[in-house]
Amino acid sequence: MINFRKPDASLVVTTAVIFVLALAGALSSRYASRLSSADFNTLLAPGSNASSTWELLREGPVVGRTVNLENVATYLIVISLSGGTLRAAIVVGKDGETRSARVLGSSSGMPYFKRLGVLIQGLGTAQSVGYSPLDSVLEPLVRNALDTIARAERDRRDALHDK
Amino acid sequence: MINERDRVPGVLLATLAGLAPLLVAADDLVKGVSLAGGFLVAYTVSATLALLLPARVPPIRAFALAALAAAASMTLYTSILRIVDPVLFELLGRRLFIVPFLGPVISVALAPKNEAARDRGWERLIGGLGFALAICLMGFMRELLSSGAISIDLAGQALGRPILPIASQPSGALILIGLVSAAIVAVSRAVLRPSP
Repeated sequence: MINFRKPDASLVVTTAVIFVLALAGALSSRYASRLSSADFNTLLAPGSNASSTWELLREGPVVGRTVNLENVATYLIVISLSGGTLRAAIVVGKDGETRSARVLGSSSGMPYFKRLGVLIQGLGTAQSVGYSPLDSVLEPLVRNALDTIARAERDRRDALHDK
Repeated sequence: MINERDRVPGVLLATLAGLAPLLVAADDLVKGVSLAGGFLVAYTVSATLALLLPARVPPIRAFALAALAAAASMTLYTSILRIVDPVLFELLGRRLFIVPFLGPVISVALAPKNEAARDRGWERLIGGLGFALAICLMGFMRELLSSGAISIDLAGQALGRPILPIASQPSGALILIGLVSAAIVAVSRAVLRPSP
């Protein structure tokens, strides 16, 4: 005959509390994920959040992208530099080229961040952004972000073709 | 044999080493506060549970429950952070999920060895506040040194002149940790110097 020992009440209560905590964590994580998707959609494509879908990428400076009904993707990038970060939205055309770019915010007012903002704002436009001695440091960061976006966009287009 | 003079800085240095992943990730004040909040949640839940569970509970079970509770509470904390600032969550998410596995959090999940240690349990909780403050201070110092200013959000851009730009890099964080460690050793040796 199997002899079951009566479990310790404190252990049972603690296990139950942890179970409830884990359940609350799982539910809140799901809720937060949905809410953050809506936030990113609003941030990248204001006014069209009902028709866009957010995809999380987390590849280098690229955080993710939204794709609207016309199949145009907007990428969110976060570039970290000494003393802060700069967030920007890059709209990519159907051929994978940068169509336009918009700086969403910067945590520093240092010249590096201001120049980085100018370089990003000038993407996809015919306007000259001029020259600055800081460009030698900043251009590789922008190029790296654009390369990552191009790679991600190519993968997305390939996946669409395969469907 | 380790004497009291070497033991105190030894414990503090081991704690600093345990906190190093967070100290390196806290390269500005906002990240520092977010990481400190996560650390405080996991540490306090873990320490409180280890203290509240009765002594008759086997130590390995008490440890497992405290560690599980710390992990579950971190999930809740990260969800709140994700709701408040989704981009900050994307920048810090991976670092926050290692918090329950950090040395200081694991060490407080161990049940106190005896009743005297249990009675001094509040010291552990105060210690957690101190560690969280240290993470905030690290973020504050690194942002101040690297950009010469402190900015709270993206709207209010702070203008400043960089003092030591390397402070925002991981190597800068390790240099600062080294300087703080040297200061701890020097101060504790001066305080605990045997009287002639």
